[in-house]
Amino acid sequence: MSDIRFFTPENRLAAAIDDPSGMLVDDAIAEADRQLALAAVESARKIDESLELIYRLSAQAAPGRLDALYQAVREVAGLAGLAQLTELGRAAHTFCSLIDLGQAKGTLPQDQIQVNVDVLRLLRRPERFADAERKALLDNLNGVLDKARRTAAA
Amino acid sequence: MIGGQDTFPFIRGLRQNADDEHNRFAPVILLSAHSASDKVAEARDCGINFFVAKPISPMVIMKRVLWVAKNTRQCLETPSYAGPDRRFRNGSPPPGVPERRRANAYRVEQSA
Repeated sequence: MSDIRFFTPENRLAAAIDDPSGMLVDDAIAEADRQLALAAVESARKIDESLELIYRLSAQAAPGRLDALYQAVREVAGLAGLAQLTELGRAAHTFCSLIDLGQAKGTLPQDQIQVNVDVLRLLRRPERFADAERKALLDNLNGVLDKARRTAAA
Repeated sequence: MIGGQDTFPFIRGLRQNADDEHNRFAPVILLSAHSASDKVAEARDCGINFFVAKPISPMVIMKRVLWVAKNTRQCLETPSYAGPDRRFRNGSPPPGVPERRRANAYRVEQSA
C-alpha cells in the first residue's frame, strides 16, 4: 500500500482570473509600474546603506564575514531593479554567486572580493560610464566568477 | 523572510497543515534576488510552484501568475513532501511492466 496520494486541488486562482471583476490586467500592470517608480528613491537609499555595509565588511577579516557580506550583496541584487540600476543588480548577483562559492569552501580570496566591491562602487553611478565600459566591468566580474568556479571544480 | 518567519519553514508549514485543506495547496511563487546553491534544492523540496529571480517587472509577475493559474499539474502528498508534482517527464514504466511499444510488438508476434 503506497503512502503517496495524487490529486488535483481546486484551482481558486484560475477561477478568480476567469471571474470578470476587479481591475483589467493592463490597468493593474500600469498601476504596479507607477507604484514601483515611487519606490525607486527609497530603494536607492536602502542600496546605499547596504553598499556602505559591504565596503566595511570587505575591509575586515571578521568571522562570519562572508555570511554578512552575502546578505548585504543580496539586498543590493534584490533592490537594484527597483532603483533602475540594472547593471548594479547584475554585478551584485555575480558577487552573490562568488560568495556562495566561497562559503562552500569556507574562504574567498581578498582580491576577488575587492574587485567585486570596486565594480559595485562604480556601477552605483552608471551614468558616469559609456555602455561599453559598463559591459566591460560586468564581463570582468563574470571572468572572476568563471575562474573561481574552475578552481572550485579542480 | 515572510512576516518575520523564514520562508521555507513557512511554505513547508502551509503545505503540511492538514487542518487547513482549503489553503494548503494554494499556489506559491517564490521571489529571490539570488539563491545560494544549497537553497535551490530546499526551495524545490518545500513545495513551491514557481521560482522567480529578481529583477522582476509587473508583467513578468503577471505571466507567472497566469502560468500557475492555468497549470493543470497534479499535486501529491507523501509523508515527507506535499505540493505540486515536480516531474516534467514520464520515466520508464514500473518494474515488471513492459514499455507499451515492446508489449504491442510482442502481441503482434504472438498473433502472427
